[in-house]
Formats: sequence, C-alpha cells, structure tokens
Amino acid sequence: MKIIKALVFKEFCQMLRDPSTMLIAFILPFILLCVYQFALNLDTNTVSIGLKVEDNRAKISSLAAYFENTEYIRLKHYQSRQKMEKDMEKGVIRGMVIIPNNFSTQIMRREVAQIQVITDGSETNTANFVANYASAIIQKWLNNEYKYWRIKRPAVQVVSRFWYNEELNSHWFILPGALSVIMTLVGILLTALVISREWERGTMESLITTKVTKTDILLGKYIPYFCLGMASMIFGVFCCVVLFQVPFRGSYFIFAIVSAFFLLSLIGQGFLISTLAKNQFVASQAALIAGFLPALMLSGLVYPISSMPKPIQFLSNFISAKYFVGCSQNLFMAGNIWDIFIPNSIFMILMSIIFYIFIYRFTAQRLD
Amino acid sequence: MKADAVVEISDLFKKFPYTSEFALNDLNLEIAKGKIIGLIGPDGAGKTTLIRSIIGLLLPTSGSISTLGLNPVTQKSEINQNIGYMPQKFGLYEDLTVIENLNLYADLKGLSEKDKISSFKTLLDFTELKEFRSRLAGDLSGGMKQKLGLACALLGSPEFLLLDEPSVGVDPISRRELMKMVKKLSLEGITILWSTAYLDEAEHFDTCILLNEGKLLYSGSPKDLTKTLCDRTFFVQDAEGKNRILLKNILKDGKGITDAVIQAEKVRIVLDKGVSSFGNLILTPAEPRFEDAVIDILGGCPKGESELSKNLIFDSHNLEYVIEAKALVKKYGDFYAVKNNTFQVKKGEIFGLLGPNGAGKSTSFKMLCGLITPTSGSARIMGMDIRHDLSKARSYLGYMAQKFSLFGGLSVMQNLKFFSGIYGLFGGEQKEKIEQMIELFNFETYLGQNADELPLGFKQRLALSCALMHNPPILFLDEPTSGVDPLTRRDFWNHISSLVEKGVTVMVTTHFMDEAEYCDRISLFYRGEAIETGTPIELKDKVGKDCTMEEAFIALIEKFDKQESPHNENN
Repeated sequence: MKIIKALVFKEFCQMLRDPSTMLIAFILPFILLCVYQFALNLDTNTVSIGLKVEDNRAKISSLAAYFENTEYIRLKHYQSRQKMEKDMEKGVIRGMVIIPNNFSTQIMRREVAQIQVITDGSETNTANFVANYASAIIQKWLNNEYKYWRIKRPAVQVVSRFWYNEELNSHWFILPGALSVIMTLVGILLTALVISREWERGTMESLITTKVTKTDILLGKYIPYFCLGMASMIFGVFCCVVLFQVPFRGSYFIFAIVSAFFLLSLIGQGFLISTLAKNQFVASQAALIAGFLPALMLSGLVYPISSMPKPIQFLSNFISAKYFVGCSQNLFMAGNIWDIFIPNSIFMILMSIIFYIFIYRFTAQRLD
Repeated sequence: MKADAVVEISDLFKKFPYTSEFALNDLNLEIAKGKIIGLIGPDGAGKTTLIRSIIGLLLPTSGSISTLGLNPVTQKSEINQNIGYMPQKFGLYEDLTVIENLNLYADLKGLSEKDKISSFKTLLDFTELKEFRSRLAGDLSGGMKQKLGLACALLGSPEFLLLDEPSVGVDPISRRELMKMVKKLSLEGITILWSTAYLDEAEHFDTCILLNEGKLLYSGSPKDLTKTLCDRTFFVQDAEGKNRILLKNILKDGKGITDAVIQAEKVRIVLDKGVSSFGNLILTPAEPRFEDAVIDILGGCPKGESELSKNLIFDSHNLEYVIEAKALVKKYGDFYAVKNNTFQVKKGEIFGLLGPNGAGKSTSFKMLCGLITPTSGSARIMGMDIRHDLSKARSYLGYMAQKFSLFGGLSVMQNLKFFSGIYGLFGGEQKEKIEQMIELFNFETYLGQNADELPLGFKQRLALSCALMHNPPILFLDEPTSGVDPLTRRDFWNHISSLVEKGVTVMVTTHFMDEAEYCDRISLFYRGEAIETGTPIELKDKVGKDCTMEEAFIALIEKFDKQESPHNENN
C-alpha cells in the first residue's frame, strides 16, 4: 500500500512538472473541440441554386417565389441554360432547377408534369440537400396552390418534426461524439509514453530491483492517469456545455460512471502500447495509428457503422470510442436511456479487463 | 557454497535473441564477501549483462548463478531485498528533487518512517548532498547525480552493492570521491561490484574480474596480475624527443615486443617473456601497470607499419596555423556550454581536447566545423572563417563523429560509395579511391556486411576511411576511441600518428587521460572552459614531477575551483 502511495505521488509530481502533460490533457481537447465547433459543419444552411423558368405563364412565378423565399436557398435566376451549366461547373451554384415551358400546360391537361432538378454529384452531401430542398419546395407549392390548378389535393402529406435536436444543429451531436474521439487521443497519448519513458531513462531498471511488484507498478500508473483523464473529461464536458451551449439532458452522475469505464479502457490501451514499445518514439507512433485513427474512423461519429462492410463493422467492435460515442450523444441529447448505457458499459469494462490482463502479462520484471 | 562467497557462477552462458555471439561465454567465477570487486572490460565485453544476470534482471541461457545463496532465476524478489543496484545513467527520476528521489526509493524498499529519517541524514551527510535536497535531480551535475544514485542504492542497508559503470560521464574528481566513499562502505562489510571500462581504475580494487568479448580473461587480485610482468616493462627515450617516430619504428619492427605506448614523454615498452633487450635502445626499467598485463593476456598489441600513410597523398599547404578559435562562446539559455575558448593549432599537430563528458568538448568541436553556430567569437579553418565560407572551410575537414555515425543498415561497400559520393567523387576516381580504402583498411572480407554488424574496431576504421575520402588536410575526431578495446585503440593511434607525419593536422577529443600522451598539445576542458592549454609535459610540470595525466588534471581542476570559489561552489 505504501509502495503504491509512493509511486502515485511520484507520478503526480512528474505530471505536474511536465508541461507537455498539461498541454495534452487540457489544451489539446480545447483546441480540438474548437475545431469541431467552428470548423466542422454538417448542416448546409444555404445552398446556391440556379433556376430557369421556361414556362412564362404568370402563375408559375409563384413557384419561383417559393424557391426564393426559402431561407436555405440562395436563388439565382438564369435566362440561358448554357450560362447556368457553366456556373455549375465553376461551383457558383450547386444545383439547377429547370421548369420546362410545357409545365403548366401539362398540369392543366392532368398529365404528369415534370421539373428537372440537376445537382452537383461531386459533393454528395450537398447534392442530397439540393434534391431534397427542391422536391420539398415543389411539394409545398402544390399543397398550397392545388385549387388554382383545379387538381386533386395530394392524398398524403408528410409532416416531419425533429426530436432531440429540434433545431437540427449538427454540433449538438458532433461535439458529444467528438468528445469521445478527443478523449481517445488524450487518454492514449498521455499513457502511451509513460512506461516506455521509464524504460528509456533507465528508471524502470531501478524500480524492478526494489520490492515493487507488478501490481504496484501498474496501479501506480493507473491511478494518477485515471485521475488526470477524468479531470480532462470534466474539462471537455465543461467546454461543451458552458462554452458551446450544447444542451445536456442526462445525468452527470451516469456520465461520470460511463466516462470512467471509457477511460479505463483507453488507459489500458495506452499502457499496453507503452509496455510493448519500450521506446518513446515507437510508442507515440503506435498511439496515433492504433488509437486515434481507428477511433476517428470506426467510432461511428464521422462514418455510420451500419453502412460499413461487415468485416469492418466487426472490427469496430474493438474500438472503445464506439461505445462511448453512443452513450455520450444520448446523455447529451436524449437523457438517461439505460438500454444504451448498460450494454455499452459492459463492453467497455470487458475491454478494460482484457487490456489489463495483457499489460499484466507483458509487464516485465526482468529485462529479457 | 562457500561461506565467504557472495556470488558463485558456474558454466554461465548468455546469448541474446537475434545475435550470433555469446554475450557471456562460459563464465566460472566467485565473488568474495566484503571486498571491492572491479568488473573490467571494454564496452560490449559483457559487464552489464553479467551484473544484470547476477541480480536476476536477465536469465542465463545456460549455467547457474547463486547470489547471496539465492537463485536469481526463481528468487529475484528475495535477492532484491538485500542488494543495492545502481544502473547506468543512475536510475534517477530527473523531474523529482533529491529528497523526493530518496523518499521514493525508501518507500519502494519498505523503509519505516523512523528508518527513513535516520538513513536520509546519514546518506545526505555521506554524499554531501544536504544543501541540494530540494534541487531537481536533472539539474545536478554528473558527479552529484552519481552520488545521489549511490545514496538511493544504499537505502535499506544492502549487503551487496552493484554499480554499473558509475564513473562514466563523471569528472575525475567526482570519480575519486565516489571511490573513497565506496572504500568506506567496504570497511563496513558491504561487498561492492563496480564495473568500468577504464583499465586504470583497477588499482583501486581488491579483486578484479577481467572480461573481453564475453569471456573471462582473469579473475583475482590486480596486483598479482601486474606482478607477472615484473622485469618486462621499460621506458625508452628518443634523444630529440620525437616519441611518435620512435614508437612507430619500434612497432614497425615489433619483434619481441608485447606492447608499446607513449607515456610521460617516453615510450613505454613491454617485452615478450624471456626477451631482455630490444635493438640497441637503452632500456630503463619501469613499474609494470595493470594495463600492460591486460595487453599481455590479450596477446600483445598490433604491430607493423600503418599502410595508411604510405599511399595517401594530402593537399600540401604552407599555413602555419590551420585551426584558429577566437573567444568562442556557446550559450544555451543561461547555461554556458562553452565559455570563451581561444586556441590555435599548428600544421601537423595533434591537438587534444580533454575533459569529462559534458565539459564542452563536443560543442567546441561542432562550432569549429560549423555544425553549431557560436553565440559569439569566431573560428577559422585553413584561414577561412567558418561563418562566411562554411562550405569552403568544411571541404578541408575530415570529420569523424561520435559513435562513428555510419549507416548501420548499409553494407561496408555501400557506406564507402555513399561517403565518397557526398564528397564529390564519381566515376573512375571514386572507384579508385574506394579500392584504395578497401586495401588500406583490409575491408575485403567485410564488404557485404552491414555496418551495424561490424566489430567495433572495424566500425571505427570504416568511419575513419569515410572521413579521409577527400584527402582533407585537417581531421576532426570526436571521441574516436570511446568504447573501443585497448588493442584497437593502439592500432587506431598508430594510423593517426602516421597521418600526422604526412602533414595532416588532427584535432581529437577524448576522455581517456592516457591518450593525451599522444597529443602534441592539449586543452583541458572543465565546465565549458578550457582551463589550461599546453603540451602534456607543460601541464604535468605545473603540478609536479612524475605525476600521471589524470593526477595533473585533478590538480589543475582543483586549483581552478579554488580560484572560482567561494561564490560558485559545486556548480
């Protein structure tokens, strides 16, 4: 017990005196959160669309007005199709809507009237927005104007509402998810170097010629870095809730417990890298490649896991960030949903245990 | 098990994975209780491996060890309780203070609070670190780190103390102080195993274990070994004082000679057993040294003439001073790595920078060849200011960096090709040069081998040949002999001497005090300052007749410290 206390004290001293530790634990998450908040934006608030109305019946201009009055669209009128295509090539507009000259005639004749919507498929996300916006506007126009055209009211009307994130503010789900990726980076970076550093500086050699046992060494490392990780996590949540005004609907207590499991698995992963590497350079490389990148790609934050090929979906099961992304997004936006926390927590605990067993197995008390 | 043995080793072999040679090869030895035992051998001899095996940090490949009557393979933790171990680099936490380091190790060794207080007091008194209790270990000087490392190893009153190369990177004064402390400890009945690459430390030990390439060469009293050379060691002298030429001629003939080196403005020779004269030289009997005996065991020094000088042609020039340094200063933050360094080197001289690690030798060196920009002052190579004509100045230099800086993953041939290429040789000229180097240095059998796998002596030769590719009139050698066994060192100096005869100017750094004897002039470096410059004889005369270079060095440093103090003690 005394030995563990001494080791923990030593580790805290080193931590507090090493500016890079503090940098990784607090400045790095802050910077990354800022990047996610200000630089990454998945909502396309306004898209530029070109509109060419070939049908010159007066009433059609009301359709143009519908396009014009949508806050999501910046409308540009064109007379020439060639000009519009040129602008689309240049990226001035992201889509074109063409109302053909027989449009109103077709409606009057009860034929199927056609509107051409062409989108810039090189940016899939924006292209989808354009297509959806365009059809939504036309639908709305039809709903309101069917009487004039003496056609039947559309039989089905879709009324959609967005729950949990009423304003469709993507930061509300990006930031809680990003917290997971950022903490993966922080947790692994902090821990991946600390055991290899002891080997490199020759202090481990001194340690293992004293009374110290493997458990002492491991707990002496786990405890301080767990505390630091939790502090960093609290700081991250503080940034999200207070600085960036992301609503938090769940319980902070549950969040703390889930975070604890998450951190344990991260610290485990970091220490495992550190134990195996025995050299700070290799350790830091491994931390990025084995820790951060998979967390970014496979946690489901950026790319939805359900649309990945099966083998990669299977691989994502070994990424603890994946479990935490779900928990964190739910706690922030939906509240306490036990059906999500319990299975995810179980996975994170399992991973922590497996890592600990590996570390214990590979922690050497000898040099060969 | 004998009652008075601390360690017993029988038929010990140790081989590391992926290596072809045994790191420890058939060792059989005993370490007696209560003595100071020196574990002596060049780098790579297996000293560290042996120490680690004794305390169970490494497992033997075969054979058995018994440490304090316990088996290190199965009873490592029991052994840990009774030993103190100071690894290389001292095993200190540099970001903890002196007292925090002590506290940590005291807790790890399970000392009670009461024991802690009393032992801290004793140890801090003993090591004179009392005033530095709250200084970070990383901010201590090499000598103080070494003492703190010793103090940490001594916590918990071990009966067996193992020190792995405690004297590396430490100035001679601290080395001497540590030795004094260790002698005191030995009087208290503690057994001490001290490993070192310096043969001249042997005289301090009760017993010594001599290792080379993993094999035990000798185990026993160093005095007994030295005695075997009685009546075989002599001094010879050249009337005009041209000792290097005398030495060269002696080695060229070589018959009946076991060893010949320059020492104290004479040439010291060791004659083969049964030989009593050498040519018509007048032999003055000399006291045999431990090193003589080691060379004898190793089969005598390499003989013959250096092929190197015969065939190489160097650019001739008529400059008197080829290297000039004027008030060179290098400052890192508040720390002076080099303070006000001024000297001139004549053509055809060997100029040595001597001093402990961290004294500023390498920094001065790197400033002279333009690798580091001086904070102030100027340096000239062949009359070229290195600040203005860097590439011109550099073209006159052959530079052999510390640790040889070869491409370990390339073969000998590829290294030769690469280095000749970067010196601007190509086509027929390049081919010819490489062939010449191969012949001169006997690389033939090693051509396809990777530089990493070469024996140390060959690495050194390869590095030298790469530095000589462009026939430089000036050769810079940074610690060329560190980690090299005494035989290879002699061979190397033979080559260097012959180059100097050809008019090459050599500047060399070394921390082997005895190598200073090969230099025409030396500059003593201590804490960033060149405290004395002169010929080896001049420096020794300042201290007193018949002293060794190391004694002279210590005396000069002490004198220097007295002048500096009292305002600047211990740092």
